[in-house]
Amino acid sequence: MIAHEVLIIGAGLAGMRAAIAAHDAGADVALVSKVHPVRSHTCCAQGGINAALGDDDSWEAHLFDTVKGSDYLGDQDAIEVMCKAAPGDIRALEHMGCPFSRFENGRIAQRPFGGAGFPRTAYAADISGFVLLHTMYEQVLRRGIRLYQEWYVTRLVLDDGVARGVVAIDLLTGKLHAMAAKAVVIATGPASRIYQSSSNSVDCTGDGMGMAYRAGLPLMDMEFVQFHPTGLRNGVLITEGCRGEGGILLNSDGERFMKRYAPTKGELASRDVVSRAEATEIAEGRGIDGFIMLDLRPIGPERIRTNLLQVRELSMDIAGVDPCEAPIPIRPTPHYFMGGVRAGVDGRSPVAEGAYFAGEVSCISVHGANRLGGNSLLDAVVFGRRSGEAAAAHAAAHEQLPLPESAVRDQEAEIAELAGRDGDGERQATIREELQKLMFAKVGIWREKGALAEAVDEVRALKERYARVRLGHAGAVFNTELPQVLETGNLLDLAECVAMGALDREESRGSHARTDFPERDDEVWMKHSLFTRGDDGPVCDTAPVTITRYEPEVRTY
Amino acid sequence: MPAADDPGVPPVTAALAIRRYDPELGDEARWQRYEIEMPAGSTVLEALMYVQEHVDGSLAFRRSCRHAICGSCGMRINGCARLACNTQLTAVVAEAERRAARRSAAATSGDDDAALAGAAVRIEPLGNMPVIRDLVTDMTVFWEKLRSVQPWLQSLDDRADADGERLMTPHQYAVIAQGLLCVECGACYSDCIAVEAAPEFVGPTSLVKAYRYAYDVRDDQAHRRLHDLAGEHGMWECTHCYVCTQRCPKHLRVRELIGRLSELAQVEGLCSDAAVKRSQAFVAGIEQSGRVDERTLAEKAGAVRGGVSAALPAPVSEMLRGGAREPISDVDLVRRVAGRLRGPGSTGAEGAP
Ligand SMILES: Cc1cc2nc3c(=O)[nH]c(=O)nc-3n(C[C@H](O)[C@H](O)[C@H](O)COP(=O)(O)OP(=O)(O)OC[C@H]3O[C@@H](n4cnc5c(N)ncnc54)[C@H](O)[C@@H]3O)c2cc1C
Ligand code: SF4
Ligand code: SF4
Ligand code: FES
Repeated sequence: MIAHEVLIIGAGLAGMRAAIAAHDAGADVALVSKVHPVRSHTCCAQGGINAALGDDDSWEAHLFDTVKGSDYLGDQDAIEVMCKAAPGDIRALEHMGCPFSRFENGRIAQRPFGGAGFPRTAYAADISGFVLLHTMYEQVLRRGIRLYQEWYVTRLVLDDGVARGVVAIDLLTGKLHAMAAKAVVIATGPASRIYQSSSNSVDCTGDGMGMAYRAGLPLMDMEFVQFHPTGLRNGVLITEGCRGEGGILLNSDGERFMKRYAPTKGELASRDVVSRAEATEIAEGRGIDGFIMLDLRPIGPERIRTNLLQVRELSMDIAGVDPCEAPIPIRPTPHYFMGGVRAGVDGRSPVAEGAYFAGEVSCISVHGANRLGGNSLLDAVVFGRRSGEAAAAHAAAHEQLPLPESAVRDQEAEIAELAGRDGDGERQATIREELQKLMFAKVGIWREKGALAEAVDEVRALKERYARVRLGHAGAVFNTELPQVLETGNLLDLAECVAMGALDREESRGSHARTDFPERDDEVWMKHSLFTRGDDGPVCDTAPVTITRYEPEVRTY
Repeated sequence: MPAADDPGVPPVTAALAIRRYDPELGDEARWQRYEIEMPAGSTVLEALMYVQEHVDGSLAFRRSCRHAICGSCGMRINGCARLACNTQLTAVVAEAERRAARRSAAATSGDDDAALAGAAVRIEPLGNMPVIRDLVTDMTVFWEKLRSVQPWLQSLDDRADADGERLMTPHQYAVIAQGLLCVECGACYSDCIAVEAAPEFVGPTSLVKAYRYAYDVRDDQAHRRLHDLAGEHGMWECTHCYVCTQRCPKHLRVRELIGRLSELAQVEGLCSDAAVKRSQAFVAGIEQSGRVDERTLAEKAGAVRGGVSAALPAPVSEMLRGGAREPISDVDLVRRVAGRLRGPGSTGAEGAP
């Protein structure tokens, strides 16, 4: 059996930052990832990472902006930990070699981002997440940290409420392995693939949330999903910079409709406002085949070719449209999961000893109901580091407890049963595609009781169909079908929580907009929602929000 | 066909000929044909995902981000290594049609394999690495080579200002900016003629990474880095064929970056024997045939023991190498020019690339 003191599941920004921290604290660490580390979803992040580095800025200001951005649902103690740590953590990344863009005086450059009172976002051109990810990988190489890459983790094993390790499939051979550890850090990233045309990588299937949920750990604030206003047909993002440069949004009448929704800011209003406006236009029949047109022609071909080179390439490569000649069809795209597995400021699960969560899989609740751009990479870095340190400390203080042998046997039996089903069942893709459409249509930007209730029922019906799903390929060597089937199982569980959370929360807050409850309701809903697995679907509960400094106020920009 | 997002535009029909291989079946690699119809604007990756999810679950390939940033989906399409996710299906269908038209105009018999008949878009795994299954290659050696250039910042003197920041001007950032863009997809490496001839050659991707660190002002180990890469299997084994630059889906000027690395090595006095031999071969080749021949170049430069001609497959595809080479009509003129340039007493070293 494979055994390490600390096992890190996921080699994105949070996972690798955790691995480095745990290694540097003296633990024997291994990283397990279903893709090669540099293929992880973090590479998609373009904009940057927040920290109060500037002389006129302060962590307190960063804290305030984040609390307000969260629509007061973020836990203020956790946000304080993050904002205080940010400058030191960013400088540590710089020392590891991360190439940040620079000001003329040689210091790390910062750009303004939505919802921030100060240009606080450090970046590297438009490849910020990409360079962070590569820097982390290179530091992992430097330390010789053991990597199990292209290993798909299927379950988190708990016994007596203590994490014992995981079970994983080595995709190269198809073999199942038990991996024992004194502490397990799960950093498996987002779950936005429950929606169609999400901006997330194809791999963002919420596996870690699914694993934790099946192991009995609570998920938190799952109904909060952020939509980005300008995604291409397949969800690939077109940066906000386009609108900054003078690009305009048009409906099917050729009207610049944003003037109606945000008379002063127009196209440059905040993300949720623009996304909601687009969704309204499309819903009221003023879209073009379900899309809004982003017209960059007012910017002029010259400037498009110099300043928006990447955008032009993406648009031509993916949509087949040259923005110098025609408008780009775009629509709001599911982008970021504020919710996740409930964890404390060291990533520690409040219910399972030895289990830690960091990055987008977790809900330490620094983003509350709406995250600010640039805060999620920071979340991954700060809480990745902290959970790595905490896991190493835990490992140093505890003995390895046995990993029940049944864990691998059970998994083997499950896969054998799946592989043995008769040949005429559905494959996962049909079920997943239906799920994604349904979530997009009924648990999307605008939400309303009737549609949400239907969505819950429909997700349950899909779960029943999934129970008979057929495996499209049974080979052992690099079988990509098997993980896809397991991923879809995760998506279904998580979608059910999202839909139920959205149905329960009868208010509008942050990214959660109910047409039937348009106001924020602090009396009843100033609280986190919790989801624990029950016999038939999630059991919902709530938990208080930690308020240390700022009492809720009306959120206006 | 998957549901069209854009029903107004006619769909793309395509025949994909995909190179299949499954070690568990114990067979040789073979071509398999899939006739598909995809919505307008689809990429090759979307077509492959459609096939895998709805037509044939056994098809294996890697993918993740869908927008040319994770580097997963490198594969050879119509003979050239590319990223499937930033390649439009219509573009490669048009390529395949042109190729079919050329073939029928030249009345060549074409391929006997029915899967390849007509204007089939050919999709194969990356070259210069073993195949695990279908389009999934074993990149172990590729990653090891990348690691061999020690791709992490090394600085004995961790100069930082009062706040703990190490300074770097925008200009100094700009110097390495292009090197930062490499997504490590292996497209250049797949089609690199020097790797093909000499499998130990460190390859273009690692050299780009080395460039990024050697030119980073915060790193003070450039000399040692260059020293390591000026030895056997290092930068001097590059044959200047420029295939890497042509292939790079991120538009990196890969060969130019390698050239800048070599310049720095020359400045540091790190021109190896191999480099000199290579330069001599370069000039000799030109004098002989009137043009640069990358294959004999690799051989003469000592890149391959055992002879390159044995190591190389017969002229790969026309597409891959940019067409068969016509002989130069006036070789004498070229020789005279070369003689002039060389002048008396010159070593024949080639100028900066
Ligand atoms: C297009 C886009 C742009 C963005 N831009 C910004 C930005 O500018 N600023 C910002 O702050 N945030 C941004 N974000 C959000 C940010 O990128 C993510 O929140 C962050 O990168 C998440 O990092 P992570 O380490 O948690 O997860 P990931 O990077 O997703 O890593 C997850 C890891 O887990 C592994 N894994 C998953 N499941 C399994 C399994 N079953 N078995 C084994 N391994 C598994 C994966 O292989 C991967 O290595 C952006 C997001 C998107 C989609
Ligand atoms: S120029 Fe050099 S590195 Fe690039 S493909 Fe040719 S031989 Fe390889
Ligand atoms: S240089 Fe270009 S082709 Fe080569 S690995 Fe990097 S991105 Fe890919
Ligand atoms: S899928 Fe990421 S580069 Fe193609």
